[in-house]
Amino acid sequence: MVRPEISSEVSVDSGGGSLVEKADGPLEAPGRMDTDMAKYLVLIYGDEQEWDSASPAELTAKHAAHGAFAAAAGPAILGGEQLQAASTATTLRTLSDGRAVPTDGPFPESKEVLGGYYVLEAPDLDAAVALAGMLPEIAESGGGVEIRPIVSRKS
Amino acid sequence: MLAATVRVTRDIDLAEECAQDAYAKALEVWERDGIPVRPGAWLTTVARNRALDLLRRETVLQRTLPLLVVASPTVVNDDRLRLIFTCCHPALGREAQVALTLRLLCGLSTADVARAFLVQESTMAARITRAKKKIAVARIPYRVPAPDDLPVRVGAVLEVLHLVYTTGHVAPAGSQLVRQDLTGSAIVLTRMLHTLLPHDPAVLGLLALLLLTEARSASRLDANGALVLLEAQNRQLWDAALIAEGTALLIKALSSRPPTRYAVQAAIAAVHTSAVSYAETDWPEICGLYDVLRTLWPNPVVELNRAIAIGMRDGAAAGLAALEPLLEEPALATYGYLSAARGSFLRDLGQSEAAVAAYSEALALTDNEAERAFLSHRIAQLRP
Repeated sequence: MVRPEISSEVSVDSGGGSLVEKADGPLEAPGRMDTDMAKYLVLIYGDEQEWDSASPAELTAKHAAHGAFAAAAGPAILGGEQLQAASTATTLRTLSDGRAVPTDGPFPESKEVLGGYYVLEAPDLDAAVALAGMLPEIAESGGGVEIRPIVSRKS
Repeated sequence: MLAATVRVTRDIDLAEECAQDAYAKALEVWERDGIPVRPGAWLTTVARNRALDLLRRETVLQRTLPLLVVASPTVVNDDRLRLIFTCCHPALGREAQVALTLRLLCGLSTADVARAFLVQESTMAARITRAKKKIAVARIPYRVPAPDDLPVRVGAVLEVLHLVYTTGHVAPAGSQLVRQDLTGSAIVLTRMLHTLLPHDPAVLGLLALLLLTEARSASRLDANGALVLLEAQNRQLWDAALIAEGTALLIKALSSRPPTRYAVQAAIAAVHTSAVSYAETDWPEICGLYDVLRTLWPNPVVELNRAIAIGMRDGAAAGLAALEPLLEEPALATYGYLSAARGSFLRDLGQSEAAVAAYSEALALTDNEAERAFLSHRIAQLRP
């Protein structure tokens, strides 16, 4: 199964503090840099059949593209994962009698499925678009990424 | 002023509030102390300070402080330019782009914007609110794009301004053929863009096109408000100063290769303005320009105009033949000008019955009263 390649260089567990260290040096207080940054969820969509039928060369190229993206985005990547096939998804909905019932398949049934995601930190939408624009799925037919601002909860 | 305040607040609603506060304060202070030397700057400063007060209270000043440092030495026009790039950001839908541009840059009321696009005021208010929320939440920046992105981003702004102008040039509905508030705003904003990007060929081309079109506006209606076709227009009424300015801009716009679509459209307009009389119109030149335009900007309306120009060059039968394939075009299925063009060629060929049918079709497809009156008159003339 070939999913959109989320680069292994991304450390999903790294919190805001360590990211700040990389960007501004160790003296900067953790979280301080966040004051003028917004978080975006980048959802990677594409045609699963196309992903499944990728040749080894295509796969290598895709992996390299995600690596280049990770290198360019650096500490702006707060997290990201590659998802298992949409056919492994389970959807929970509440029936009219109030019972929550798991059913087979992803929430929206469509040809284009969610294959992975990144959480990015960026000063504004243009910056987020510039980073997400490096993702190889954008060039695939039926593929693309959706950029959603994340609600910020200020303590 | 609004644009300058938006930069401070990053929130259009808050900026509008601060702008209103500034006007209220002006009424009070100016009455007491007299009008300041630079009223606009005075208002901007007051609105900006008000925004700062509010932001400080909300303790988000820290977040906007870097913006304020940058904002202080800028002039108002730079802020307007930033705002137009925000309103026409590609992450917003085209309808939202146009609505925001009219509302925030042209200063039209929500009711006016709604009227221009034939929707309910509540619908337009919701559309504008949604767009403003997206700007705030997704953080669409108030910034002139980086040089690399500029051509694409300027392209979106120009398309919006062109749409604002054409919407005003023949209002979709109502008693007025022209909505001067829309055409005027589009020209003011395009001039502003030209001042700030004086060498951009697409900006030069659009400004040339708008000025050369606007130059002919006084002759489009007669004293009774009835539509006058190009062939019958009094060319003495054309604005010579606008024609001269538009032509000079066009020459500069055409120096870039390949020309932009706006430059080619402006060149077509210039062929009309340079003809001493309708009879002396250089139709072969116009046909040639449409051949260029259709490669730069393939679009059914361009094909329609090209077919009409062929009819003018080679006669009504040739024009009718050129229109024939366009009858299959779904995008033109409810486009009244296709029916009107067929009506005109059929009339020239003496096919009265078919001409009446075509004109009647055109009549059913427009809600503009000046156009309706013209088409009804044509139909009446053709009926035995």
